[in-house]
Amino acid sequence: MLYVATAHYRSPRWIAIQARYLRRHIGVPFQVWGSLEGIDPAHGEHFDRVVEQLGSHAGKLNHLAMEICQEADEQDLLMFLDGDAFPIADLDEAIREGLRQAPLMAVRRAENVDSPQPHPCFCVTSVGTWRGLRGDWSAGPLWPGGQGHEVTDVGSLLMRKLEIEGLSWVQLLRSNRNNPDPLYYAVYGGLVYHHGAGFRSENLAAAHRARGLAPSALRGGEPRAQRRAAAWEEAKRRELLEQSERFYERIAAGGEDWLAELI
Amino acid sequence: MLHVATSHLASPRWIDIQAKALREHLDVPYTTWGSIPLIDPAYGDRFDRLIGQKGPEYARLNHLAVEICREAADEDLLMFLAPDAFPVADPMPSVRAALDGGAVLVAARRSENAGDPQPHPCFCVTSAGTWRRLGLDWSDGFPWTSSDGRRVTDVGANVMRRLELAGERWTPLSRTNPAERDPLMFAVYGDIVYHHGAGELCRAHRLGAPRPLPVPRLPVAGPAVQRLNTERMLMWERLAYRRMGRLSEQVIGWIEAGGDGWLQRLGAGGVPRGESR
Repeated sequence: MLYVATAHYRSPRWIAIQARYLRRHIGVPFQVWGSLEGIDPAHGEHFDRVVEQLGSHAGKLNHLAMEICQEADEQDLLMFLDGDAFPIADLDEAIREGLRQAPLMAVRRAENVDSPQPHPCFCVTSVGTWRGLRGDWSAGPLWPGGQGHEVTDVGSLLMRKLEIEGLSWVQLLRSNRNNPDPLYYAVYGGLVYHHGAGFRSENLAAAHRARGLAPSALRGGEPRAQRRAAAWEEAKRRELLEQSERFYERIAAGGEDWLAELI
Repeated sequence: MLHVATSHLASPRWIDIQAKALREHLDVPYTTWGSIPLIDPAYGDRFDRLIGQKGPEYARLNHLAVEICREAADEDLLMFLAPDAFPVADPMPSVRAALDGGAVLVAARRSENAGDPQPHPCFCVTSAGTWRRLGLDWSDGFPWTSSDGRRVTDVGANVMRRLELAGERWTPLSRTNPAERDPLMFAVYGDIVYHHGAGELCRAHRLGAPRPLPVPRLPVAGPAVQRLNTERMLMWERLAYRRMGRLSEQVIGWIEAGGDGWLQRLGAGGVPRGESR
């Protein structure tokens, strides 16, 4: 059995899309365990199991995994999937091949200022491995970020645990041929789409700032420069939101032209 | 060996107070594992081990536990301590009594915070073996109903759920001093640990917030009452934060003055070193 763990937050807009692509691209028996904070419970019909939960994204994923591990067998598979992520190619053989190479396979968002950690937008491992690792999606451990500061993010503690246990992992890297955005609208390993501007996208990512487009005042400076920087951020955020909406509409409409544009 | 895990964020003001209290009240060999994000690195010498980390508090504690468990023996003890928490008596007799009695974990339970049912990381002791075996983590996620009828979650929720699923028992330490100065802050739990707790308005404080006025379904009056409700709430929050800051500074002043007088003022009395009630 493959258990899919996914947390949707405040908006039901990706639920039916994700469910459609999961049905299309997973051939083995699977169950979808989801949480629907701030979403009409009627959308629960798209899930095999709805787990009530609140709070941080990492906490929700840890909790979902805990509930799944309570019922699953060691050899069952556990797949984490962001609410705005879904498979775009058949996963069964790719997962088999990936887990032959290493006990865990996950997206690595190297395009986000070389983030080194497994990202929960897509990650698959066995229930036995997750239990043995005491997997945890929390942030915590640091790595050098794009602007000389050390940074952390979800997945960094999982990376540290893998390192301590001496376990390797298969990294699915961005494989877009075309990139309308440095971070969003990503295809990883030709297998998974991650919209990226899905639920909690009110803040710009490091990848957007690192492109050299942001005024230097984002890193401090005079009040006037800071106001200019805030205006730049606001304009950039609005631009990203509009672009995201256009892309979403095309995905929701069905068809594959949106995907053909990326790969 | 006892491993103390504590993460101080942005302000060093509790570091020396906590270190002194640990020296005064712990009779067992112990190692302090700390992190000091956004604090002058010179304070690192107050800790036996300093770990570089960032992120929310639950994540920093999970990470500290990972680093400790990498080195600790199964029977070693792991003590989580909020940065503004410290022992006011020897905690080990209470801890040993609970663990010998079949509980796998001892922790503060802030039931005064609108009925919080979960172990709180302001003070928690378990064995490294238990932490590893159960794969515990401090994140929020699992929900419960607070005393004002809302579904909520908070740090420690997933520890509580994991213990429940594993059929393991924990010993809650309840507040033992009166809450007359504040419903949540300045708390002594189980007569062994003090938690200052100032910073954010919590559920316990919000129980005292003004109830919103009913919004009439009228084109002009409706939005006006809604605006009034928002203004009333903002005003209440401003006053509550001001009061919290004033009280907090007053109590910190008492603590910094030394001695046990501050504990007596908080209704906890002085607990002699090496004793637990």
